[in-house]
Amino acid sequence: MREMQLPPAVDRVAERLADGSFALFTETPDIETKARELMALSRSKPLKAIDYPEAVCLAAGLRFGYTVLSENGGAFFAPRVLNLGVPVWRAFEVLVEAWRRGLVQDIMEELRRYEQEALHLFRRRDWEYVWSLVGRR
Amino acid sequence: MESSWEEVEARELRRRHADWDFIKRLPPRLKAALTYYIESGDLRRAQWMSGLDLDHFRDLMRRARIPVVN
Repeated sequence: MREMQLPPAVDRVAERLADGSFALFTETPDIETKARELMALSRSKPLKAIDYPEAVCLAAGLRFGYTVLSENGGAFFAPRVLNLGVPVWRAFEVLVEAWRRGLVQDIMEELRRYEQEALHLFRRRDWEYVWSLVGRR
Repeated sequence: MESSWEEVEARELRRRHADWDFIKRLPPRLKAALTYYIESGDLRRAQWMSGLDLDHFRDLMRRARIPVVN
């Protein structure tokens, strides 16, 4: 919340908080300790730096069994490099999961639309992965 | 872990899509921050360099047509 200033994101979050579908998470001392431990650990590995906001999300995901949503490269690769038992999803994984559940009909079109609207490009390996999924159907 | 090949791929995509005319007209600090982001992909350090909050820095990235590549 501290980082959001502009619509539509700030409006969307305010609406979801108001209707009860979002909740604010305030880090507790044990989460903060774990977050700082993860940040320190990341510096000793060949990993993009994990900054405090992402580290808090990873620590909370570990503690409560949540899936972490992040576009941060350090956070995304942290589970593999640091051997953490926490799933981290980018928009790519969210859209693919929505397609698997039948909420998205044409995953290729949806990914392309997301790229254009968000100015957020998926990598070749992501496209190859989704081509392999579509090819299996 | 992101391989060096993937880092190169991401950097090339950011370089290719960026509106360099727009970036060159920016004040030095903003220009430096966006250039740093294009080269490194490190959003938080680039934002810190810019002196903007994260939302306004992301807005500046959009206006400069710099994509996020993860």
